[in-house]
Amino acid sequence: MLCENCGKNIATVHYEQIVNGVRTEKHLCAECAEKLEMGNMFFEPENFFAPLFSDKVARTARVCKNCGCTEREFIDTQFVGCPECYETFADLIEPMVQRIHGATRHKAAKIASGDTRAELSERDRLKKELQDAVDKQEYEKAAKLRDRIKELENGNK
Amino acid sequence: METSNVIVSSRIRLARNLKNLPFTHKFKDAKDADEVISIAEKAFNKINAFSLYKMKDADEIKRIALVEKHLISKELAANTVNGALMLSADESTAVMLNEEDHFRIQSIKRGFALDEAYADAHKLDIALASTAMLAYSDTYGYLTACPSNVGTGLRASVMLFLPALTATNSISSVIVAVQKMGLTVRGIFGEGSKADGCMYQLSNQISLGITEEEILESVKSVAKTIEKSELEARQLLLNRQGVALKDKLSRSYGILKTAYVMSSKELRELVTNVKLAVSLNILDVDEKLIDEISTDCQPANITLIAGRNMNDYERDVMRAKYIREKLN
Ligand SMILES: [Zn+2]
Ligand SMILES: [Zn+2]
Repeated sequence: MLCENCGKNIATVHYEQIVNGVRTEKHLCAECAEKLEMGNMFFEPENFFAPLFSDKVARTARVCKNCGCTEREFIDTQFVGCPECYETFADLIEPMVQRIHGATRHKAAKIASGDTRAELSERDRLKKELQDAVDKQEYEKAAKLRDRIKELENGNK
Repeated sequence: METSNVIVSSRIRLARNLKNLPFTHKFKDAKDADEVISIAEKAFNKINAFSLYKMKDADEIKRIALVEKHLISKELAANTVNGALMLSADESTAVMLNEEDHFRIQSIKRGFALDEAYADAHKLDIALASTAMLAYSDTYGYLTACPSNVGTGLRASVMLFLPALTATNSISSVIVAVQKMGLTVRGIFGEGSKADGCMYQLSNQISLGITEEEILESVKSVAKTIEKSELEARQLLLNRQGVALKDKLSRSYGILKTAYVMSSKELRELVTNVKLAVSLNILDVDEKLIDEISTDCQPANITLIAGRNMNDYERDVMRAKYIREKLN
């Protein structure tokens, strides 16, 4: 595994933090770990993670939240893990689609009768799933769905 | 329209996935695969009566036999964890489940019938879309596990029998010309362009930025162009070789009818010659019967017919016996 900060060296230092019940793992090379710790950021989660959200870093360490497919996995296999990966790795997929198909917009026909594809928005679907989860008393799943819906409603997909 | 035996069969494949599941290789547990199968049964049985075959329940010979008949891919046959097939009684519709994509709807017709095959596949597609939410984006259309299949998710292909273009070493120039049209040609038996049965598959490579109709039209028109040059090459061959050609092709039929040991490779060569002879009016043989024989005599299929495991030699003897009985 490569360092999530520089994306160049092998990650040898592994952090695990639990903030508000959410477990986050960070894998860094010794050099980056030292730099970050020297800045005394380790004990302030906000600051500690801030550099990891910089554009360059986010690109090398991206993982699809929905299916766990990593950027490396996609680059190596040319397979994405789920429909959401198309958004997660949008900037990588677009040039690939252009290269293969010579275009980036589809012209597939819409199926008219009884088509369910477009009827439900992502949010509606999640709400339905949430109701199902609550009905089945799957509270852990319900909590995750509730978070995802909030995310969507706040506009940061 | 004049019919020839150049365009052997027409095939449509539609790749579809459920919106709310990861793609097959990222399934979390058996429940995901079962969901695909149960949705497929619910959707497709509205259209036709299908038999469901789970790869884990089928023995290896049966699975290979399905590959030999081009009903499933090698990859699906090897997926004994969650792969499945829904097959119509006449074997003209075969839906692969939990292959690379959740659903691979396939419709196969004899001869030049891409539009008919598409119409059948489209019916299943509508049934599926009205049963479940499919992975679809406004930008890329139908989403697939590999971005090379996005857009329409459609692959339209025809199987072409090209003995004369093969004999005159013209296949490579056909391949180059076809690639310029965004299509691809590959040999069905053997590697790459070396097709020892002279069978080739022509299909579209691009599935996005183009409509279903445009894909069908381009495959159809290129298939007709290749058919024309194959027929010209056959005449050329006959004019050039005359009696020698007639002799060679007719002898092939003699061997086919009388041999006691027959390998698959030899059978493919003889079948090629007999089919060519029929099209040049050298032999009067029921070509459909010849096609049936070549399907039935592939290694796994002939083993299934024999009903027992055989070594290679026993299989070659069994194959020859089967052919003699069919032709005499
Ligand atoms: Zn580093
Ligand atoms: Zn994903």
